Amino acid sequence: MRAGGRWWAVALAVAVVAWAVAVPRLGLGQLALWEDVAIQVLFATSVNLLLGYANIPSFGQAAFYGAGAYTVALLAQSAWPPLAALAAAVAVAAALAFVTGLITSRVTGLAFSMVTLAIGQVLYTFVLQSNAAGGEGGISGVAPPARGLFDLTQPVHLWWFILLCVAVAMLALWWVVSSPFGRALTAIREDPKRAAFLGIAVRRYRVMAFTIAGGAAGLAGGLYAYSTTIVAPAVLNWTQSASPIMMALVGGMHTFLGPALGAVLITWLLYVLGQATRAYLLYVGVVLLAFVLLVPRGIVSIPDLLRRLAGGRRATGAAPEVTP
Amino acid sequence: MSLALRLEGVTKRYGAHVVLDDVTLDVEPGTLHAIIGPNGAGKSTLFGVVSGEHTVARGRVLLGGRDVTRVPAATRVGMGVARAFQVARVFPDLTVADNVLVAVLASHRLTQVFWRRRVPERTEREARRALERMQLTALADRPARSLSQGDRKRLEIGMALALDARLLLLDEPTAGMSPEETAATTRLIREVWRETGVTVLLTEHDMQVVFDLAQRLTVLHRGRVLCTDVPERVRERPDVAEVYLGVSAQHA
Repeated sequence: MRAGGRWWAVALAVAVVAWAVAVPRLGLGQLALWEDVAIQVLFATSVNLLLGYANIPSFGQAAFYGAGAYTVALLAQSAWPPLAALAAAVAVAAALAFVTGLITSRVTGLAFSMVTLAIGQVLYTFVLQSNAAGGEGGISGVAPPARGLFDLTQPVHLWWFILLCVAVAMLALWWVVSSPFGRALTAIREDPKRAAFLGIAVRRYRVMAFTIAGGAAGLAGGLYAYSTTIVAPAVLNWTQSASPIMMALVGGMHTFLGPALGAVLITWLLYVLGQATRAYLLYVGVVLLAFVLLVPRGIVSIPDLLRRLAGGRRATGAAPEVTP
Repeated sequence: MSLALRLEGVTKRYGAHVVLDDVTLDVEPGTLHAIIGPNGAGKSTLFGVVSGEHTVARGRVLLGGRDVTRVPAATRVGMGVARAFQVARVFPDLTVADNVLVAVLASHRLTQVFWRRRVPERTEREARRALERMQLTALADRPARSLSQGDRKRLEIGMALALDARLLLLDEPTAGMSPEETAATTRLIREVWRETGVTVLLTEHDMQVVFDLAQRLTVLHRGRVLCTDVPERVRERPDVAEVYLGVSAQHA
């Protein structure tokens, strides 16, 4: 971590906790919004493990998000306790991602993106036709059993439960990207051939990253099921895969926190604009376009950008900063 | 530690074009062996065959007596084959220190560790030593992208050495270097070779470097081995002067 990075981390943590305490006082609508924000933060970060750290452009992450959501929804019907249901969601999504990773590990680039997209759509179609998963209508009334230390039928308890799960998962992902494995991933991203000639079995690492990201997406999906109480096939649709990619782009891909910031901004924007106008997607599109054209390295690069604008001529051609 | 290399009747084709034609070659363990030949002689392809990047149409590749013709590149790295490319390949967005660290981690098979954040102290120390040896300590925190071509090549050689190489493949190690850098790199290769006893196989266009370093020379011409001998005798062969030195004068 850079000098002063620790203070930034502390300041960020304090801000998050303060906000977490404040949100329940703003009413149920805001609570639902910020639960969604937290969940999208985790989803976007998991996608960025692939996109930003390993340069694996998967367009099928909704499959694992949706698999997590459906796992929780189905298990909630047999009154599974939330932690067990979420653990199952992670396991199912990770296993599905592992198999997908194995199948796709021989293709790269655009072909890879297309294959992941196709696999996601296959799952979407399957669930759409499936009676057990509720078909087109999905599964509604997803609720944790009303017992235990945390009674998650109470909105405030659920809010804290979701935040805690997201925080733990984010820490775990941070752990992964700053581990030796994380370094190897970035090395593979930079030059797969060089990595192979250092004895790194590139394909295996790609499958591992895919599995970990899939598991994290599954957790996000499972939390989504508890938060909204409804899981419909739309969670598996490809648009659901595109949104975390968009968040990572807006936030800044080659950094850990960038996609999280992107997730906060985009989710909040979707909500606010959605309340104001029916054409909200148009405006979100304009924001996305503005970022791609004007701030291609995302929100995290804005301080640097402002400094350079203020400093005038001395554009150093600085590289995208790589965190860790 | 050193590894013997043997090629037996190796033939490599790209379509109808024969790049390596029945190449037989013995590299004794612990020697500094150079492959020379004009452009297009097949030197880089030969390196690709030895390191496992290319498959061969015919013939066998043996490392330390073991047939590795069908063994993939990553496994050969595990046996001690380390390679530096003609145009240095490093990880551009990683720092110089992290480039070396990844190599050290890979050599200890620690790159799969995702459940531990800290890199073991032993590994860190080893990486620092590798940086010192290559005189890259001052550049440790710079992104590799910002290095000069010469420094980049040194970094890549350092990464190859960090792998506990037993057979070091250096494809034109001094290409693109200034005369000073060339002299320093030549010295470095000789030092490393003396210290570690590693087998070194290198290609080079700079004849000064070749005659400074090599104990044995193989002349490659249009994919065929013209001769393998000690440098003094290779120099005196009239056919070598004809095919090699004649051409080399043109592109010098």
